[in-house]
Amino acid sequence: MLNESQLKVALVGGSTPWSLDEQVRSDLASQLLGAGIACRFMNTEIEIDNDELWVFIVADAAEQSQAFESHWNVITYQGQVEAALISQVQSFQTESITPRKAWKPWFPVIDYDRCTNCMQCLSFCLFDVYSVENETIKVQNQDKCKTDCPACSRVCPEAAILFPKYKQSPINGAEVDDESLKNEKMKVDISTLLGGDIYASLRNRSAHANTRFSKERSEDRALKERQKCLIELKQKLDIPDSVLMSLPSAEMIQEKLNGN
Amino acid sequence: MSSKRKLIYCNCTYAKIIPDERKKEVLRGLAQLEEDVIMVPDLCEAAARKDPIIKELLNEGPACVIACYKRSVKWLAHNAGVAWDEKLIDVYNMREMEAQSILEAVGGTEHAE
Repeated sequence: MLNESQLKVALVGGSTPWSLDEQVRSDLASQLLGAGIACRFMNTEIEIDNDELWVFIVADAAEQSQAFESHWNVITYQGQVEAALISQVQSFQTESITPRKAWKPWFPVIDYDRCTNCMQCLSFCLFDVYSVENETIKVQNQDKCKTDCPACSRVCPEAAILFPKYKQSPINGAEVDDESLKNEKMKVDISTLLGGDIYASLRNRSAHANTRFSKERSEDRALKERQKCLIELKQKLDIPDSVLMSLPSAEMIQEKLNGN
Repeated sequence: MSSKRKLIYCNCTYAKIIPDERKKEVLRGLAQLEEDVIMVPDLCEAAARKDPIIKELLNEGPACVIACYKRSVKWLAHNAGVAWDEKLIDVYNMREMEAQSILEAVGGTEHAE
């Protein structure tokens, strides 16, 4: 069985009897790409590797096409609708290509020209997206990244984490400049977010909570406080609700720490 | 000795961040060129899968990539194991550039070794 990249779908151009015209080629390319199928405009002679499966989409040219078909995998374009064409291409796929796993178009990409290996992303992400290999931070489990959540890139002090499908600069991959770093939603300082010295803040918070809850233990109040904190995180880091809903509980985090 | 460039187009199929009409206009222009154009549904997907096609396209010789921001393309390619050569790879950004500007730029010179 071949893999997906070994399927080569060629939209034949040039000036042969079976060449597709330009408009048809661009329309077909748009349809195939939209269906997740890679293809190419073929105008020159190609070298065919035995490890590849080539499918040629050609114009209807009667006898010439038949000669072509006797040697190659050919789809003759006769104005068939998009679904029919895609189905024809997929019939070659299903016979010869290993089905691929699903993927999510959302994962972080590290700009190693900017990354200082500070590991803040590793500490910050609760979903095990990052890991360290040879003392260098890397994206280990991109599938675990939460769709539309760019929070790790906002806490990166060097703006070194990209999400290519994100709407805003420079997280979307635009060059990083002073102006973009001043954007209030970029480069959030975690310690500022949580109020100055993060460790002192947590110690004080814990001490304060112990005193207060020993006097007035209230689950409602704790819940309200958690919600207030989550709303602040959501606003400052642009974290989607769905991600906040799926955050691991304190117990789960503790279990993981104990396990490590 | 001249080296033929590879012309690569990313359709960014899995996100609605590039206007459809711009993508179609670019494709119409590319279909008029006399060179081969390799088109992938989504470079992000290819990088995520570490698809060998990325190395095949970008590791050797000059290449011209029509996709999104150069910084994204560069580090996506790095993710897939490409040794990125600034001198040999041009990137045209459909998020920022109009189709006509891209086509004018792409229709220009070929790299030479």
